[in-house]
Amino acid sequence: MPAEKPHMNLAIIGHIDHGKSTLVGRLLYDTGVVPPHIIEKFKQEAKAKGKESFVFAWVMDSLKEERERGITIDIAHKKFETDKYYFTIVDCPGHRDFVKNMITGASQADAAILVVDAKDGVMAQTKEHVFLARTLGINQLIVVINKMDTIDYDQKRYEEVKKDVANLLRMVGYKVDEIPFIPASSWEGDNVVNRSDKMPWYDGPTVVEALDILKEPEKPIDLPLRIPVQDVYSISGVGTVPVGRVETGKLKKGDKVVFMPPGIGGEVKSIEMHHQEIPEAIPGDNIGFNVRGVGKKDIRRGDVCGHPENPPTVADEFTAQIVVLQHPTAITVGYTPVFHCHTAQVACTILAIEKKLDPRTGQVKEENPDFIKTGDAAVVRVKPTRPLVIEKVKEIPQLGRFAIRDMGQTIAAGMVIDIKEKK
Amino acid sequence: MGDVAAKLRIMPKDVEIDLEQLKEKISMVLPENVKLHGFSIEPIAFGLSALNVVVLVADAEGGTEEVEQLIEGLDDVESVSVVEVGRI
Ligand SMILES: Nc1nc2c(ncn2[C@@H]2O[C@H](COP(=O)(O)OP(=O)(O)OP(=O)(O)O)[C@@H](O)[C@H]2O)c(=O)[nH]1
Repeated sequence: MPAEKPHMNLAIIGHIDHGKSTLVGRLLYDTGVVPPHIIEKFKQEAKAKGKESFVFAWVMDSLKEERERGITIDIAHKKFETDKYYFTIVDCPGHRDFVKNMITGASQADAAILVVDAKDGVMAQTKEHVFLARTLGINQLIVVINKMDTIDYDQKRYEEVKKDVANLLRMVGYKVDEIPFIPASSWEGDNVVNRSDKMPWYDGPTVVEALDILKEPEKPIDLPLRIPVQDVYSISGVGTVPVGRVETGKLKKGDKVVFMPPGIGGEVKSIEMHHQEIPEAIPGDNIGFNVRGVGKKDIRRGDVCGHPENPPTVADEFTAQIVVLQHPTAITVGYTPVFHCHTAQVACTILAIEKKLDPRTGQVKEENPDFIKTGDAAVVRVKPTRPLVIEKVKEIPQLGRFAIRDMGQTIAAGMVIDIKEKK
Repeated sequence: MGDVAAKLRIMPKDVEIDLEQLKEKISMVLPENVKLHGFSIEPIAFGLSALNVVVLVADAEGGTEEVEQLIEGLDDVESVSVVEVGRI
């Protein structure tokens, strides 16, 4: 039997109206995911009306309707496959307040396609999404310079836009040499699934070929054990039962574990998932586990369970790179908003703004600026007002990202670069 | 911008809470601009089950915070977490 194709979550990012939905529609249409009955229906309708070029547009509309109907008790994500992988589209909402969900939620993207309009070039949201992708730990990127049909497939303009996008990517730390740039028209279907004959000057991969050369994501099972506690129950006849999702590593029955920050340890007597006892839990599993030696009052939401040999890190202070998404005025030293990281919500004080970064050039724009505001990226030093488990994004990415909220809004997102541990 | 579907996982205060009743209470607190799509019960461990709810909110309105807080405000609810979001 052939081995199962690996699965990847793919985010589609880019400025409003640059063609994200159209690209997804084209990928589904040309890889043959759209049900034949839908295509047939529209083909006939189009023929009758003498508007054959409209078929794709109608298919796009009906896909949306089908999805709307399909959403009942589950979110019907769009799926397609290439030679090597199964892809699920992680459709990122446009509004910034959803960033918190993208950071603390389950559907982390393994790779992203950045869509840039060939005419418009790099726009405000292009920058923001690139920053966010980096912050969310999406290390593999494909750039699609879309709507090439609107500029007559002009190579010169393509090169200009490519250069701007490359500068932006370099700045936030992407290895630009490893990123494919693809001139395409999602509308006409050029270089998405089928190679275009309108750009003989381009000899790189199509979008689908680029998807096939993505690297399989690293499995979080090989990292140290981390289970952020969602809730803690005391169940009669069982004992103390913390509930949460395994983020990294492996938990086995009989393991000695420790909960940080409280530093309370115990032994795992049993693990259950879907009401079934399981011998071990792996990343993605939503489990309850019974721990001997730990009382309900000893631990709470936001604590993190790990193994005593490699316990979760408690930060006294940490250094982070953040991007300010929306703030009515300015962020200065002393500001103390709430940081949302895994299941923890802790107020943290900005101790220092060390550097402000320039999104255009990639250089440090200012050392120790007095303030930062919407659209700025910066390196800041932060002190939690109470003990907080957080990890360096390089070591355990799942616990190294956070959203900053204040005044009912997500005002910034960030990743942890360095930690001064609490002793 | 269009609509955003969000899946929320609601954990009850304890094992005894009646999730069918909780469904009704949730349907009642949801504001008008939030469309309820469906419920499902997800067994977790040791007799404890989560109630999952899928809602539709407008992308332009921003975020799931209001819904989360309204549901979290119910007596029977221990916690609410957003486990998935997606545009439709
Ligand atoms: N000519 C041309 N038009 C395109 C192409 N791709 C998308 N469009 C058009 O550009 C407009 C925006 O496309 P969408 O796919 O809705 O863009 P989006 O990025 O998903 O937009 P939002 O969801 O609003 O952020 C639509 O009118 C599309 O028909 C293309 O390759 N060529």
